[in-house]
Amino acid sequence: MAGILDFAPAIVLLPFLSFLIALGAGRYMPKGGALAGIGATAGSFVLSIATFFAVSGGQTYNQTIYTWAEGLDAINLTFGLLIDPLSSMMLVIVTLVALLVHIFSLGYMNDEGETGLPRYYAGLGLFTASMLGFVVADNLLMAFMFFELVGLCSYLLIGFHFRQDGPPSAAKKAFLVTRFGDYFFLIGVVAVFATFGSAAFAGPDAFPVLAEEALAGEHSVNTFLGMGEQAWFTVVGLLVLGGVVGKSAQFPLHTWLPDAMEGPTPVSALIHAATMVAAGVYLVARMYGFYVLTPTTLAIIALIGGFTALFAATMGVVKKEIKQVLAYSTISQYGYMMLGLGAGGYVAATFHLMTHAFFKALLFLGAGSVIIAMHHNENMWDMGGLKDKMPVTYYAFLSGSLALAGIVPFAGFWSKDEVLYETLIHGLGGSPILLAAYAMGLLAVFFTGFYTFRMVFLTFHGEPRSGTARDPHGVRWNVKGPLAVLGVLAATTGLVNMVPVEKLFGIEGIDFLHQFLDGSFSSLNAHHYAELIPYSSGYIGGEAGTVAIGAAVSLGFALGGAALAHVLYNVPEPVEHTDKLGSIKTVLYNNYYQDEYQVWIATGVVQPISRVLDKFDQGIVDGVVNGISSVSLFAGGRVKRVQTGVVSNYAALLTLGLTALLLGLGLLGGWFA
Amino acid sequence: MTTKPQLKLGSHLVPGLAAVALFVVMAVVFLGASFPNPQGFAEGANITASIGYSMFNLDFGDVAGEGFLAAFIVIAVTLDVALDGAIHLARREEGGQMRTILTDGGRELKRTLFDDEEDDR
Amino acid sequence: MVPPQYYLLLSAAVFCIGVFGLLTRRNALLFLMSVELMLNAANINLVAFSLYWGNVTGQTFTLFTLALAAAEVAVGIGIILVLYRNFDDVDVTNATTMRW
Repeated sequence: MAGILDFAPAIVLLPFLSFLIALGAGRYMPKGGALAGIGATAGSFVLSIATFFAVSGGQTYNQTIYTWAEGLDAINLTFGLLIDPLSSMMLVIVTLVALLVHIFSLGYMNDEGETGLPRYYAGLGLFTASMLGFVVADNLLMAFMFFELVGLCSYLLIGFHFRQDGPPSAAKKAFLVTRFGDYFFLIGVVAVFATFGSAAFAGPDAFPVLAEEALAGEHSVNTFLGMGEQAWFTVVGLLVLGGVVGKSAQFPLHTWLPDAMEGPTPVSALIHAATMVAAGVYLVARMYGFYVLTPTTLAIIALIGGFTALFAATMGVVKKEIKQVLAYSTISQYGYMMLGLGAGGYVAATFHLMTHAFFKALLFLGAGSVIIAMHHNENMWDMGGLKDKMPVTYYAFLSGSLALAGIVPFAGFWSKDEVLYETLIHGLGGSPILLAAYAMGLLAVFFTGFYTFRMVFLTFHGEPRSGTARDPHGVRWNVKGPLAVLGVLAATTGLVNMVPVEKLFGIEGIDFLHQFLDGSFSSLNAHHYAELIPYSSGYIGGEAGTVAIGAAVSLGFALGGAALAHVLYNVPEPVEHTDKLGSIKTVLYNNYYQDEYQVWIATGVVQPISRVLDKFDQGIVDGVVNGISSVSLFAGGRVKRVQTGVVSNYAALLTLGLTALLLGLGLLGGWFA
Repeated sequence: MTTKPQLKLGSHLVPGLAAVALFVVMAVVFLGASFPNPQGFAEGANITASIGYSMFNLDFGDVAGEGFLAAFIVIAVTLDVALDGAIHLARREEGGQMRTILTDGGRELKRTLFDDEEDDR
Repeated sequence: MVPPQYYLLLSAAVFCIGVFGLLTRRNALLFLMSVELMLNAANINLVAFSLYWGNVTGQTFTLFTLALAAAEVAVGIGIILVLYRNFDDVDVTNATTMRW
């Protein structure tokens, strides 16, 4: 089958090529290698679009490209490509966002006279390439390797301004916190190999399929620790989930993400919208056929998601820096995706992943535009009144904000509503955990609406509150272009999956995403997952009634939050209202003391243990080694004195030795008998 | 005035005790060993001639012996080499300088330099 | 015939005298002489056992040993000359440059 899908490896390789070019020749090129990156990501984008349409036409691609370790017992470690609707959709998202971020960087980095641009563009190229490699990975080990590469690139890019104090520390934190989760992921990968003998996502020996058959009793798999298959699969699922929680910044491993705002803003856009953070959720979606088999894992995912959505949203309410607000909104939105996945809404979560990618990239790039205008001052209390000075940014940002807050008909409304709807009906079907998660998600909608519009009003409305806000720095086409593209997308992508409209008015066939994700491999499509979901559905007043009620409630909460923000902050001279929160304010400013308690765990628990182990290592292990060496040295120093250099002494030793030898032999051989 | 050799006693003889001990051990072993009856040579056999024959692998001798021609050649060569080596070791270069053997640890060189230095002074 | 024990005792005595000289003397020339004694102790054994077995091999071998002893002395004298040149003495205990 020679088709466009045979060019799929090029999608990954082009950004990698741009990485090599920017690294090797970037400093001899105009714009520090940006053009190579733009060209490569544009090429990847075009190929991704072509792939997308090919997949829409029913084509799929699942090939092993390279076997890099051949196992003795049929376990081969391979690199391969799996192109199905999910990955082709993700390819389009990643390449589009990466392309726009590259273009935006021209305005944010080049025009601002930053140094080290080849390094920056090399990082972007590698980042994009690793995420694309992760997206198309056809087995869990390859996914893990690219997952780690993504983490490495985010480390490199967050710490781009390595001469300042903040960024290196933030980069280290991001790296270490995600690494903590990845540690569990790695064990999970090994567990999958040990259990199924294969880690492929699709094909004849796909491990989700094997797990399904094992649970149906068709054949047996290896389980460990004396667990049954169901329990063991739950353990494996939770291990892999560790990596997801770290990467997607879910509670309690979310602490790295707000700090990661130290990186350049386009990098934040890339991290939050399309690459690093999306990787975690994408991984769950990728192996959803496995998770869907274990209700416990699903419930945990849903609970983590719902809790994180609410938890992060409350912290976003009090932040002063525009990027901090966006960071917490990212955590919160990824919480929704986890909630959707945990609640059995595979399509809904994927949908939210897509819409979020667009509107969050838009918001970050918009924030970047504002930051350029404000001469790199990120404090919203120094802004205000930027609406008239930078209309393109304002309207694009507004489009993104409406999407984020979930106001109809912007993208975020459709996807978030579908996530909540899936949670609601499955919760009503007899799952109190999901109902609790739903309540948290719904409450988070209110906070989302509030902090989003607080941010908009503080930044763009009212009177300018500082000199720079009165006379902002202008931005050029390379900033406005990406904003315009994403602004349109944020307003419209929701229309690809208008389930509420379909359900309410009975119009068939406008849930395009559902249909799209239903295509291709029978073990990987949404229909198959829907059959496996361990939940039953319940409705209030019929399906259409539930849809209407769910949508109305979530829209109402979002509008309520927005209205509160309007009352409090859309005034010419807004003041801080955080003091009204009383003691909660301190808690929120300190992010619920998450960092503090994690640092306490590190210094209060882990450090003493490490110290004891260090003592053991230094004292006993090293002591034995050092002791042996010093004994040898001492003995050598003494014994070498035998070598006097005087011939007579050697002769005496020889004589004595011969005598002793004769005596010994004689005694043994009975010569003296 | 002539001097007679004198027996010097002292602590320098202590290492000799090792040799005495070796002798004691060997003596005890030999005296304790038993041998079968010796065979001896036949009456009137020409020992010297037999040695000569065996040296050249000839089988004419009265007494049995093994051939030593190869050993003879090897010893001849060894003697030659030893002679050359002795001459080589013993030869002294003209002008009192020793260039053939450099095992003096740089002593000669140092002395030369030192003398030169003194000359300069 | 004389029993072989006597020959063995004689040779052991000669050998040990050689060793004694080696251990107690410091003069290189006396060393050479001591070594000669030790070599000839071996020769006594060879000749004695040649007679004992009724075979001339031992005696022939002794001739070669004598030749080797000559070679050894030649080289030994050369070494002593060098020793004297380098250390201005034939005292073997002075030459300690090859100690540890």
